[in-house]
Amino acid sequence: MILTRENSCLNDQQLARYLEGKISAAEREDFEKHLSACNFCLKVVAESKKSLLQAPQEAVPEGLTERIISRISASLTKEQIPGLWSKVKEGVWQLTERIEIIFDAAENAFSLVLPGNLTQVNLAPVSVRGPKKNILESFEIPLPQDKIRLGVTLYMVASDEIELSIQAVSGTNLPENLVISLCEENGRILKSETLKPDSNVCFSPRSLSYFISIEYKERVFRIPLRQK
Amino acid sequence: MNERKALEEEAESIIKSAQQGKEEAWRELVGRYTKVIWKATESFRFPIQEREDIAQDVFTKLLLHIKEYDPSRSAFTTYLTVITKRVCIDKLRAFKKSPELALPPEILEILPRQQPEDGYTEEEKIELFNRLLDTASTAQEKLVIKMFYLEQLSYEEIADITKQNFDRIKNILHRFRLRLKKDLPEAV
Repeated sequence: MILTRENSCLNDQQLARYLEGKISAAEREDFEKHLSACNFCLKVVAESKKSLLQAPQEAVPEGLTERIISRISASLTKEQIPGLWSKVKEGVWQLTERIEIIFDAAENAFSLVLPGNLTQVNLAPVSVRGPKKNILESFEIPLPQDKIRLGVTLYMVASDEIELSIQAVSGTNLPENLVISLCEENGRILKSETLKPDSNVCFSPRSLSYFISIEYKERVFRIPLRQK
Repeated sequence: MNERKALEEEAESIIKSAQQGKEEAWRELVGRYTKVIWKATESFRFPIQEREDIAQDVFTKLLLHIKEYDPSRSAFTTYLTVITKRVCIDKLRAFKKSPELALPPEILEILPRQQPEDGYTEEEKIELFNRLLDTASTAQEKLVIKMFYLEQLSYEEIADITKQNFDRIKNILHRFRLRLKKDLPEAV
């Protein structure tokens, strides 16, 4: 049984209200109907209930609150950026235009084909406009000689949240230490994960100013997330 | 006024200031509630660094959604715990280490035992369990059964969450056990 999220999933406030019983009879019926079918939301409810009843076992690591405060302070002082999801809904945002990432196993190196190099396979622009659905749009980054193919998929995981997922589509020659990161415009890495053949790397971008960074053997390539 | 009520009112005032983007309120919020988040990450057995990242992610998410939080509808600790659990489960999901809802030993005992050649694998047992769950239960019963068998919540916890009578919970689970024993061989 895999835990998958759906558009109809209950949001955090709804789940919190359900846990506290602060819901109407009609809401309870709706919520429980969803929970009986959705393993993801059920897991959140069950895990939350257990946690709320338990006494903490461990102390918060030294310096963690200071590190969080420092990050939050930086965000508070920045100008608020319109949410990415609102741009998605307006249909004015796209993942990228044309981009290819080529991994040559013989050379053990990546190269990036930018828009304009028509000798390579062209990729259609990825538009995320359209009706609500789980997978709004997706494309793959094909590579010659079936060396490696990376896929980028955009999921709508909740009414106000999208998720970018990057995975190896044909991972037979997937190199080790292929690091994929989500970065802020200024280059600060928000999340960084190593791509593995049987896994994907997921991010939840929140603004228009992020880019995906693909890093391998000291070479770094960026896939910008930008407006049309 | 009891102590808990006083604390909630104080927290409400801090949250209101945080909703207005006041940095001092955020400092207070992080100082008070990081321990709630830390506790909520305990059960997942992530490495410490991963848990620290999760704590950061939760506050980042909170920063974006704090204005949507309504203190009159749920306690902040509950809200924060739900956010943390969701982030943790997403993290597991991202690594394709979905916390698959394996059946506990008690239910596996009832289900057909795996035979060397033509018996059932554990996955097949789970599938059989689900099939029976889908065909024989109402949504409400199904929820209670899943809470007990898949999420290992106690009778008391299930009764508390679903606001159902304790005896009704016991009855639903008893009937399901009987059904499992009776119907499962034919469900193959």
